[in-house]
Amino acid sequence: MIGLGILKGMSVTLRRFVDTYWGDLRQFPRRHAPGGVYERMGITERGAFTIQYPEERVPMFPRYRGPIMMLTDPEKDLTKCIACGLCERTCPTESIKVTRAPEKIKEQNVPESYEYDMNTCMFCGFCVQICPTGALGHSPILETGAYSKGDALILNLEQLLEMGHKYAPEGVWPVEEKEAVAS
Amino acid sequence: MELVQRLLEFVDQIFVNLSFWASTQLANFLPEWAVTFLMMFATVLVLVFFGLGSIIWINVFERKVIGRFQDRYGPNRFGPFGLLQCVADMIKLLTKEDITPTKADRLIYNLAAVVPIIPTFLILAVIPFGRGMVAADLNVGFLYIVAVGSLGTIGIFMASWGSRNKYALISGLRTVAQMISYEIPMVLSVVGVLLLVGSLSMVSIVDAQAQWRLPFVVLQPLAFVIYFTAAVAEVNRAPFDLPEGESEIVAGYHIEYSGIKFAMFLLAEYINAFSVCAIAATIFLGGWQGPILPSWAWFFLKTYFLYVVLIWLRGTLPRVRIDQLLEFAWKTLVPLALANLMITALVAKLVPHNSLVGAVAFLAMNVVVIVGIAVVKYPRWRKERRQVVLVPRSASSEASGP
Repeated sequence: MIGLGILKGMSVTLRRFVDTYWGDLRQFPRRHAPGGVYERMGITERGAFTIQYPEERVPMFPRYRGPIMMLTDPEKDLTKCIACGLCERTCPTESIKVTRAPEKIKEQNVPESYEYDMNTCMFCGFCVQICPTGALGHSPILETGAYSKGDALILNLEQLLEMGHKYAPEGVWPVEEKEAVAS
Repeated sequence: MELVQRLLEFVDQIFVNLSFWASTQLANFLPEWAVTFLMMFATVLVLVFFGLGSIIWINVFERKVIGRFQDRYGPNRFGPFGLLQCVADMIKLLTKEDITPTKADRLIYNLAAVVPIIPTFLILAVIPFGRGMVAADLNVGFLYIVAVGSLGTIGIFMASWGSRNKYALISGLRTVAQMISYEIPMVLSVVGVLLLVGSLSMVSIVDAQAQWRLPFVVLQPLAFVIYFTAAVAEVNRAPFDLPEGESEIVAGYHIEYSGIKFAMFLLAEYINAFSVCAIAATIFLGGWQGPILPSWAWFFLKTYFLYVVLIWLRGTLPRVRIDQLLEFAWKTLVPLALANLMITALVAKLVPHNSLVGAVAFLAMNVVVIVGIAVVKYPRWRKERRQVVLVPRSASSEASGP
């Protein structure tokens, strides 16, 4: 009440103030401290823990629901999708269109075309849940922005398969935590 | 050595000489009254542009410093170290839609955006920015500051009334209560200094500190603390930012303002904060006086040091309640300021001025006042202190169990 509490609080903030500059000096040419974001957020850590976004990214969580991707069975080297059309039917916003190829490959139905419209998708994940063969997964893509709602946001079969190769090479979703890294 | 001294002298007096050179050049082809008029006009222009320029810089400065106090970097994207952030902000504010609420009192609403700025610029006129660098050396300088400074309240109250908004009105009532309460300790604390100086002029206050060879913060530490606390409340800054109270009354008096009119309020607020720091630096920290560096550099160093303290307080303390605010003003600051004034008047009569003995006497007087009040009031503070009772975990879980 005599103001000692105020002085104590001010000493705490002053230490924080000095610590951020000390941290800046330690990481000097870089904009952010090396090491992960979560290490910096600990209560014993000193210095600023702002995520310097474009240079530094937070790893996405394994169950993060991003745009969907199509998974490939690495043993058969073929998409897991059997073009049953359940994802198309269950999609609440009708963002998916599948057509089945007339002939089977390796005794499996395959899609001839697969159109995923990210403009209308609301990332509910129903398609991923309902897929009987586990052919769909969520990619850890964070930046889905585009300048116009045109073809840039409508993904076709090749793009979806490519994303699957990139983010889940094992052909399983969700990916193990240690492999779920930022894009 | 001689050369260095002359160089320092030149840098120190560069603005004064510039103004003198301009007036002599004008005197070649203009009558005397026109030169005087033009020079006054130029001074006003310089001050206004200085105010407008410094707000842009102070805004970024404050955001960067408060960020550091809160364990983050401030703006650091646009320009080197984010210094051009102000440009982006200004473009954003100027291009925003200007809205007048349909039910608002149009005249008062629109006028209120301009009124708070006028006193802020007027105050800059009597602040000595350096040796000989004062726009108007009034012999009632401090009285002028008090008189003009309280005009800002009218602008804020006009804004809160003209908006026809509940939150704005609450904020206006708070503003008036707060500003009137804190004006009194602010003035009373400085009266002690004025007793030592014997003049109200800001220039002579600085000169008096040169005669003492000590800044008045050494002679009147209590008055400095009272003045600074009251000044923080006077310019509506945290922890006394009740008129704005973002978490309670959204934004207070400027809730309905947008675009350039909102920028006007922002401008007034930042320049006000700057000018109370400048006044505190002038009265208590010795103004422009200091070794080696040019006088105006010392003035800005001291002012910005006090400004950092303002930001530091803002980054540390939570907002107080309105009853705590008024109680603090009337029950703590006003009695302290009165006691300080009374004893200063007594000591000033007894001890010799401009001497070390006098300085020691004033310091001892302040210590006596602080210790005396602490001893008298401490049992009561002790009693009123909120007791936090720690309940053991097991006991509390039993109590809340079925």
